Order: sequence, then C-alpha cells, then structure tokens
Amino acid sequence: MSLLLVRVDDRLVHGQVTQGWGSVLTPDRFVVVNDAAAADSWERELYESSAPDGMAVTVVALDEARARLEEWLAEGEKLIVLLESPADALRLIETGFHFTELNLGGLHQRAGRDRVLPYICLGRDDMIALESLRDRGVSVECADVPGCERKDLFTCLGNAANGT
Amino acid sequence: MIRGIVFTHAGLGQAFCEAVESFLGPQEDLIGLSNAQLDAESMPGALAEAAGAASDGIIIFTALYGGSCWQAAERFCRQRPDAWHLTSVNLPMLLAFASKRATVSAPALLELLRTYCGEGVRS
Repeated sequence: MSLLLVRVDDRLVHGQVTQGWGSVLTPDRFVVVNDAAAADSWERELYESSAPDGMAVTVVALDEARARLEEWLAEGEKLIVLLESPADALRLIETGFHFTELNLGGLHQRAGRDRVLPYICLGRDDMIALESLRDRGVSVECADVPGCERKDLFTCLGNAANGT
Repeated sequence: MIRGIVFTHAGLGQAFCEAVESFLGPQEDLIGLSNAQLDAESMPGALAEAAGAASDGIIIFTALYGGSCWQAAERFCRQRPDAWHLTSVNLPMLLAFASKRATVSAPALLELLRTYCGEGVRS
C-alpha cells in the first residue's frame, strides 16, 4: 500500500496536481476528500472527468473517507489525497485515518489570511488546525510543485517571526 | 462579435492574443486571462468580468483538460447559455476563431474550430 501524498490545496484537482505531482508520483488515483463536492453530483462528475489518462479521480465525503482510503490502500493502489483546507486535513486525521506528512500546496489570498509563501496564505483557523496536526505528529511541508524547494511550515513561520 | 477569452496559466493567454494580433492586427473582444493568484472561488468572477454582456456569444479557450481553468470554464458555461468552452487551445485554433467569428454563429464556429484544429494536429 502506498499513500504518496496528502495535500491541502484550495483548487483541489488542477494542473499542478495532475500534470505536476501526477507525472512524478504516478498515482493510480487522486482522492478528493471534500463534503461540498461529494454532495453535488455535477461537481463530482466534473472532478472525476478531469483525470489524466491511466489515473482515476474519485470524490468522497469526509465521513466515508477513512473506509474508502483504507480499502484502496489494502488493494495496493497508490493514492494522492487532496483536501481543501487544513481544517479538513485535521478532520480526516480525527476520523482515524493515519498520515504523518502533510503537503501544503496552495492556499490563496483572501480576507483574514496572511501570506507566508507566494502560494500559501494562512488565517487563524488554518493555523489552529495546522498546530493541532503538528501536535499529533504530522510534519507540514510547503511545496506547490514537485521540483520546488520543500520548506517546513513552522520553520518558515519562525523565521518570519524572527525577521530572518 | 463573438467574444473570445483565452483563460490559461501564467501569461500564456495574453501571449496568445498578442500572437494573433501579430498575424491579423488589433482584435476587439479577444481577451487573455490568467489564473495566477486566483483561487477556485474567485475564478468565476474573473471570467464573468471578462465575458461582460457579449451579445453574440462567448467562446472560452483553455489549455489543459482537467485543470483549474478548464473547471472554471465548465462551471461558467453551465451558468451562461451564451458561452461555450473549447480546450487544448493553440495558435491555429485562435487564428481560425479570429478570422471567422464575424461570419458564423458561436455554436457553428465552435464545431468548425473543433474539426479544423483536430485535423491540424499532425507530424
């Protein structure tokens, strides 16, 4: 079984994910864990039809995610898991689904968020969820595309606070 | 006039429009739009602003099937019955669009572009 990547990205499935990470990690399936998309058949079909050749995209709700993910992993599938927010990542781990690394790949600017990196803007709720994930032993690494420099989120935040 | 919106990554859309103008001269209602710094929530508004109230229809061109621009265009066309979407944009496609859009309807032009550009992929 192989959990290739657990990624927070507010665009969920898009080119950086399918063409960038997909071409490097070659998953069998992208799993979008998102309640809103799972509840809307048109949105679900949109995401699921965006799969590159040879890969699948499947949308699941948070409360069914653990069972579905464990089932695919037990069958030997290679997975990339996509979440819209740090809060959803925390909710996923609270269901009992275990992961030790979280990729922050894209959280865009909006009201109440501060820019940490060009592709990462975080608000208070995001920070609370990320700190909770860290306290549960999850390392949080920032990387929008596979070839970029990987940066530990809390090291970045510490450097910013120290002015270094 | 049928409006064209080239909605792509980085500066590609604007570059496509400039390339079309280098062949055909200045173009009205041909707009390059980048997804840079747009999240999923802000893309529909950016597309709506670019589309305006075009009276003869809108064709949105995207580059990457399944990408964020493609998704936003699909969502936009679902809301706007006068909008159509074509992906895998290339320069011959846009030249054909710009040179023929005054003579046919948007649905007919879409079909023409699909056929013309499919046949145009060769080696």
